[in-house]
Amino acid sequence: MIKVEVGVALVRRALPQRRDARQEVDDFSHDILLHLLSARGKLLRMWDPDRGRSLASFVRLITRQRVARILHGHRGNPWSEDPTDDEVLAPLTSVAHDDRALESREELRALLERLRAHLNERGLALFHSIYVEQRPIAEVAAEHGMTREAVDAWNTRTRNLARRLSADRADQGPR
Amino acid sequence: MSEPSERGDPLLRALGEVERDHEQRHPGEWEDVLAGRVPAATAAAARAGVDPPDEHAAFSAMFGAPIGDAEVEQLVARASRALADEANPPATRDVVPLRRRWPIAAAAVLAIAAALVLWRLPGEAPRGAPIAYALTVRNQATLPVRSSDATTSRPSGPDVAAVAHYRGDSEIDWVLSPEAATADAVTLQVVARADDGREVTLTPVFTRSSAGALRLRGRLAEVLPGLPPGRWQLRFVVDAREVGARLAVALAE
Repeated sequence: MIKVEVGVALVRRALPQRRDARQEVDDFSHDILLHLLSARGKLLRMWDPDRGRSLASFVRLITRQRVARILHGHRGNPWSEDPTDDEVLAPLTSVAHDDRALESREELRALLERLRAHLNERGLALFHSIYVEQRPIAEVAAEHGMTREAVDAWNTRTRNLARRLSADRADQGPR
Repeated sequence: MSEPSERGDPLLRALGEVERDHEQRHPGEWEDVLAGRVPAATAAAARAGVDPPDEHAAFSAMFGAPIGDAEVEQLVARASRALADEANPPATRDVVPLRRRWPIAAAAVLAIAAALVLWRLPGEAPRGAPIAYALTVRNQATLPVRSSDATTSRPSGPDVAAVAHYRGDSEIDWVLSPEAATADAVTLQVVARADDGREVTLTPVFTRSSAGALRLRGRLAEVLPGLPPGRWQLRFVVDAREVGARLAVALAE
């Protein structure tokens, strides 16, 4: 499962650049496996079946995030970060960049990968439950042991983070 | 500042839609090929016309054969080295007392076992087939606290980690996760077998998640009422069928 998840991500990224991703798949897969097991399996022990997500689904979530982090050169401890910096909390005054980003499905995919690289495990799970599975926020909040207000605050931080990442990308121009 | 609407943020909703599209296009059929459950030709036929031709060719080349034993052995070797380095950094290797090294070694071996489970972890179960479960021990096994236990009476070597030591008041957290989500109600029993062949069938206290994972969590004596002190091999039986890995435990008086 890890290998397929990694392979799909690398192939879809490599094909437009006419690169062969096969050499990298095993290295990425092993890296992710060790990532899951490091610190006596601390990350793996974060999986909570009471939250309704299967182990396979949890590992898939982590794998996608780890691939995104590696590909985007994200540094630091991935599990200690949350989009809580003032820079992220501050709302973006201009939304012009968002309009440009939203014009392209490819841009949205790229933005999703960058956002995935910046979210921690809880953020990934919240994003998946609210925006991918489209479940009621009250239900998601209860499942994660959070108040509705806490989920709303996470939502605001993540929205601002997404806009910030989109604006940064637009400022750098097309790659 | 907060999002009052159930609909959430438009940009995040758009990103969620991209993720849903990604999941719908996920070529999970290749997982069965890597696990050796279906021939590559079957997966290739299922994905032909679904994936773009260039992606299909790349996936066929990349996932066209099951993961072999050699690759698993290589993985275990790499995991062992990495976990050993992590557990025994050079600066402290010579001063870690025996009683601390024991749980580190146990954790490393358990982690390697978990690696094998993860590496073989399937995404979906074949339709209509009995669902397999993977056992995950999420608690740290406890150790006897008597000083004599840290002496030479304890066996050594990697196999010793196979027996986890508990007391009646030890907090356990064992999870049997199905290979695919299931809403079916199940019965769970634990069969404990002693070294002399004596068996005790126990009805554990457990919870079941919405995805079908079975969780035994709490004080061992309360979760597994009736398990006598001693050394036992535990088998987990779901709907009269043994599932997951067997677990060797030693329960102190």
